[in-house]
Amino acid sequence: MASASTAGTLSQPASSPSSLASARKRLLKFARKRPIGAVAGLMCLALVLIAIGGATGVLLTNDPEVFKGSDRLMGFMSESRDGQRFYILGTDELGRDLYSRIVKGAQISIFFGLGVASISITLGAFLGLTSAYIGGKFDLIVQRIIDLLQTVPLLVLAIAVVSVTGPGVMKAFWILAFLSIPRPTRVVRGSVLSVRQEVYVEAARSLGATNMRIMLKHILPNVVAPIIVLASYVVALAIVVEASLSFLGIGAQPPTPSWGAMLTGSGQTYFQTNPRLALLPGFAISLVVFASNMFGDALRDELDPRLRGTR
Amino acid sequence: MQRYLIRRLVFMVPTLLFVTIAVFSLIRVMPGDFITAQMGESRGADPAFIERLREELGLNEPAPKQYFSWLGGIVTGDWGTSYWQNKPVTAVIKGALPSSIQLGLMAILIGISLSVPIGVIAAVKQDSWIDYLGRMIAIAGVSMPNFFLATLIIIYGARWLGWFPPQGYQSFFTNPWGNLQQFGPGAIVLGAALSAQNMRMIRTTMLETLRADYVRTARAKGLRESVVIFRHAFRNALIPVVTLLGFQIITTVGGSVLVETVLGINGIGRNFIGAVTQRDYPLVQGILLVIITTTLMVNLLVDLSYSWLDPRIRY
Repeated sequence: MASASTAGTLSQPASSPSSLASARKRLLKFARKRPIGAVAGLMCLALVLIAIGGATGVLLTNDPEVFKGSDRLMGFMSESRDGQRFYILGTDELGRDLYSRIVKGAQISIFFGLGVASISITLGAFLGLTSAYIGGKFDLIVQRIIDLLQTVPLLVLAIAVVSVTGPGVMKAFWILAFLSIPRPTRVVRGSVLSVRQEVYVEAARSLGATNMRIMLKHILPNVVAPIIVLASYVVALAIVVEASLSFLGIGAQPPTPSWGAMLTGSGQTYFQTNPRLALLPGFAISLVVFASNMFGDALRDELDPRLRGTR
Repeated sequence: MQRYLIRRLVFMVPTLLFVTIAVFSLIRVMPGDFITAQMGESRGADPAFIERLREELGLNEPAPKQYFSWLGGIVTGDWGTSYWQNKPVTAVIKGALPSSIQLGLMAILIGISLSVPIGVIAAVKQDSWIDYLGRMIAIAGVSMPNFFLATLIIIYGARWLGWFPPQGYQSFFTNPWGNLQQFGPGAIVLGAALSAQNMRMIRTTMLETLRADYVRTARAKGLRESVVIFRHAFRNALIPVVTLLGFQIITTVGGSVLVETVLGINGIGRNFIGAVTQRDYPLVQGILLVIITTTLMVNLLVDLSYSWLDPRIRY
């Protein structure tokens, strides 16, 4: 069930053969102990590959943005009227290939998931690290601002900000990336506060290590586990919020295929006659979120010492 | 306890003040206003007319002056007039709030009544088929975005049950069946997500408390298993669940925006989307204020409930 291909998501690319072998061993152990988590990890990887395949066009059978008026609302496995194209999942109300649109739509979801997670977690981790390490007034101000941001539901806040900036994929992306900073800040700050008291930090300080060095070399490696776990949840959340914004028409704009937008546009107008227009993108979103949640759970169980042994 | 409560309530004032400034400036930092949103298509509109409109709506005043007149209005109950609906903001919110509150309460009720029994059973009978089934349903519930679930209800409710979202507000007191038809599906969608997360949390914390020493002591005293599970394990498992529930109420407020829009419920969420697309500042501001006050109150209630659940916690 498992393969070495999840290595990239679990550990740093190894340089020496011995660390490569140990990474493989750890991975196999993870897969044996948590088969569902390993399958979910593989699913995440497959989705990333599908997104790349959609972006480069390798996996597309037709241009996802081309209208073909004569081929409107065709069913599964149908051939176009002129006999030159083939639609695996049929077409939408404008005669666009549904399969290619769903594959292409993976691109935006994965881009949001990975992009928002990496930006917000980098910035959040930095903020949490410095906030906990510096402490004092700086910490107090940062934490109050974060408290405040967390009182508003992410989606409501995102909608409010998008209403000001106007709709658009990249605007939505940056807004989400910034609005997702509070949680990583909280998590990292909490972990740093507990790690900071450790003897090895004191030892490093007594040896004359600079603050920067202590933060990066001694504290950061010890708070990596909660960050990795959090990342998988941020990915899932970012994908759902992007889909929600596009669903409301303020995220990705037509003709760019986004799963959320597909659900609301043709999906809602034609749901009585062609429910697959809504069902397929909906299932696609659910599958991605499902995979990243399951993978995150498995990682949490693996990395959180309190939960070790439970399932 | 009383002092703690008073201190918390007093602290809420500067927070809310800061929130009002944040909300107010957020909406004003970017170019464009209600008038440009309305006139978007007709570029050639008479500039003098636009100017007169701005004057009438008070959009020409300096921002601080606008802010203070808005703030003064909030205190005295005049929240401004919704440009878009041409009604006082308070009237719009008053009209929409009962729907949202009912939807939210029903969702929480559904969420709790599903998650508590399943979560407890899943933990007590760990690794049984009911545990696996419950966890699978929970994960599926967490993964399905609520607007997708709502769309499914729209599609298959109409196909299989002949259900269509009722038009207009159906009061529970004059038309209970119509009211349930209006709010039931939305509450189920929001409640499903709630119960899925809750169930996972209840299961995890129950697994921890069931292994605790005091549970072993309770068993050793010869107490009945049901007493051990509910009086000893479950009550101690509740603290993280209540914290989660607090977060969830906030998420449910966010989720109701989508669910109300899809299922045609004229609540706060749907009005918020409308106000946002129309750039109806007074209404956006008013609704954000209601949402933030609600979440602050929820957070306070969550903190207060800790000491009720765990007598060791005293404020």
